[in-house]
Amino acid sequence: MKDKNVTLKQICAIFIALLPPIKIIATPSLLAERCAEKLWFPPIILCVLDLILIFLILKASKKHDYKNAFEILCETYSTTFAKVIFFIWGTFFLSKSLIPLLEHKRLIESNFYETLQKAPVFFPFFAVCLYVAAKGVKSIGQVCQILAPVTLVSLILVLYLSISPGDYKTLLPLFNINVKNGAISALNVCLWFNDAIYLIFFTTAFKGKKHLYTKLAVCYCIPFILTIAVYVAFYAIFSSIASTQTHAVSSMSIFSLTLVNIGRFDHLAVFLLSLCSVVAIALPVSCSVKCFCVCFNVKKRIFIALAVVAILLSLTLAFENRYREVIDFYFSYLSPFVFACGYGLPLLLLGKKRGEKNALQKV
Amino acid sequence: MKVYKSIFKNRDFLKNQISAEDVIYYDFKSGDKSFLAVYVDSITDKNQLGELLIRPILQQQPQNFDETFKKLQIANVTPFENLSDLKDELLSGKSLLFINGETKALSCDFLAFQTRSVAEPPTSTVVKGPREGFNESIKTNLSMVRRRLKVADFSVEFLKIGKYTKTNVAICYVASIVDEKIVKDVKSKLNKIDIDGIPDSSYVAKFIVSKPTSPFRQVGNSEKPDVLVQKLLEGRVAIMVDGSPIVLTVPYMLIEDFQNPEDYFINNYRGNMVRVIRAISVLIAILLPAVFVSAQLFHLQLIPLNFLLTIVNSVKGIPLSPSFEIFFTLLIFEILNEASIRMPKYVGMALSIVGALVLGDTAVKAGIVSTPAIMIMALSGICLYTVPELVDSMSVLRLIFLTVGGSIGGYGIILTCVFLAFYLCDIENFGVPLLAPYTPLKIADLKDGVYLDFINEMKKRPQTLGSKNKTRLSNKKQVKNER
Repeated sequence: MKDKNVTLKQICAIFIALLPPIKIIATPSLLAERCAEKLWFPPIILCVLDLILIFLILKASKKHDYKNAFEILCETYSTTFAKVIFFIWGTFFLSKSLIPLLEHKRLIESNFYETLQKAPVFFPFFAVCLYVAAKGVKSIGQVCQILAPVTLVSLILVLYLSISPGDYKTLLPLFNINVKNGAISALNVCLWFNDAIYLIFFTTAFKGKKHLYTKLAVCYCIPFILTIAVYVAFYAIFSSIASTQTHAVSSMSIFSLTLVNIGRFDHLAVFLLSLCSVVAIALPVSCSVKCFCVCFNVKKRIFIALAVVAILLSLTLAFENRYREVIDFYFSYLSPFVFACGYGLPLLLLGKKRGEKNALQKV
Repeated sequence: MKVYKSIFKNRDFLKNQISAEDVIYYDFKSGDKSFLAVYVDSITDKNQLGELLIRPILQQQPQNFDETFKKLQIANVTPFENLSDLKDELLSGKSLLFINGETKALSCDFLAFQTRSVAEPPTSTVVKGPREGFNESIKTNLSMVRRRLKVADFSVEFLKIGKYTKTNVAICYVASIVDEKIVKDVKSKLNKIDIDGIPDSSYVAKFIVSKPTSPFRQVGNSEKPDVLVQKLLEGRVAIMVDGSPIVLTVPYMLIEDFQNPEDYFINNYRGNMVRVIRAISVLIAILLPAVFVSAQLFHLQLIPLNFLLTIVNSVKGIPLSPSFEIFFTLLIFEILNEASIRMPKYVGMALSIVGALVLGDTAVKAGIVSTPAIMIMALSGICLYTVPELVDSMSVLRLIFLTVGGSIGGYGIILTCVFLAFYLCDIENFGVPLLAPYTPLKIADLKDGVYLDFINEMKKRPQTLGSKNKTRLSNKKQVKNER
């Protein structure tokens, strides 16, 4: 598990570039469906959880002398246990990529290819995904340094075009919050958030860095604030019909008067965000490949990458027209598993080394 | 094999080994001693040979080898005992002097090549700034660099590459600045080259890159001594090849191609503007035809209504589909481009008329292609030449994007961009990534990227190159006063 080459700047770039794109496709409508005008509340709960998780992972990393997650688990528990955990994480990351992938596919097909046979258009994605997954997380980090400004500019453009037509009174009253509903919704949508988990792959990159938590928290919060702004603008535009707008990012700016004379200029921003989405979806795929490589002790990533992408392709083919059913199934049965994998399992890294445990027991 | 005592045996040996008729064997007597001068007629300065070698011998009548060696007033004289070494010296253009009864001979440098005069290179012209360019003589090129770089640690190391051509290759660097690992790596890669001949430096470039099959350049080059000196001062290594006016520089970063020497000579604000224009132009050149075709075929909503009406009116009756139409115009453009480079200059005017009027205007009037297609292709073609160094790879990329955009539309373009980004991030040479300083990000190096800072503010050498001496500008007070 070699992740020493990823730098802190690259981790920050991953946060900025890849966090927002997959959260602004169908997530706003799903949140609106559950929380109506309080759609911003569950993400804030998840943001707080993510910030805590970032803190805990950094603490665990420091505690174990900046070893990688697999070494920490082996040291703390046992190699078999570490492999089991990595297998669970591999499956978790695979599921983390599937639903955003289905959303991305629907966005591309319904917005950009209304009149075309859709299959040949989307399937080259899997070839690119395979290439990216085979390259590894380090390459994603490098590319994100270029993509970070692209994501920010596109988000700001979408926001600029969609901010004026909204009726912001629909978001009032602001603090009349049903906390229980918010918490359940947060549990349901944690799949799209829970980005702090990626840090388990970068524990070796933190060595000797100062103000780590501040830097990572800031880089996490900047795109998060922009995402929340998109949610707010989205609900202000569509209010009660927001839950029916399954492609938030492309439908938000349609009412902008700027577009009357210059065509669907906003689609360029959507295209750019889709570009970032491709990498954002490839990130969990790549993490999944990494987990399985560690788990099965395979050195050639390409074989595992091929298997993972093949599974993803077959799942996409199986569920391409059943997005709603997949979402309902996920909300009903899978979200607790995802929550546990995303927020619970990383806490295992905080465990004490086996030697220390024995010493304590003796005492 | 040792030199024979008899000059005639030496002559016979050389005649057997070298069958060239432009090798001259001139035997003469001075006092009691017989001498044999051997030189290659076509590359020897015979006046110098006569005045500096033969005349002193005739006048002073030396009696043995040592006396002859002492009495010659020439700088580049080397004694040899081995006949094979002397043969190699002769083939590299040196003149030989054998003395009858001696087992040593002299090799003297009276080389005289016909070289092109120093002129402005056609590929990097400037309005303001030095106009000198390298020519095909490695000595002239080195002299131009030496004139600008008056430091003791400007190092030049020679080696010969090519089994048949034995081309002189010089590795140049400033020892106190350059990262030694790079120099070591360059030497090791050059020493591994085992080829018949090196006609040009571009041959060498192909052997020292990490991805030889990549369509992207991985070695920088320069035809101008002022640019080369700046690159050396940043911590790069230069590779000069005898017979080539193009000097290679490593490590290479993609951003170098956006840096024109003139940017530093003109007003900084204008310098920034032209750099941004170059970056935008490259994007337009690669993506515009593909975006135009995919918008026409798949994403009509992207095109503003008025422009859409113009396109609809102009493509009415055009027999070709949008993608074939652009392919056709691209093909015509590439043919015209290729022909204009290769054809004799006196037919250039005729080609312009045929290209611009017959193929452009008439094709539109005949209804073969539409006006927007011609305009898009022309714009793309012009934009491509704002960064001439990238023309080779960008024209290939344009074709790939056009094919993808024409077959699966905008999403294909997106996927190709993602693939390209990962591919480019993966390329690195001599430990320096191609996309540095953008990824891996080196904030200090961004001062000389698409954004150009004031020269007074560029106090450090590029961090990416790992220079030993990091400071380039240290006298802060003086700089402020000058400003």
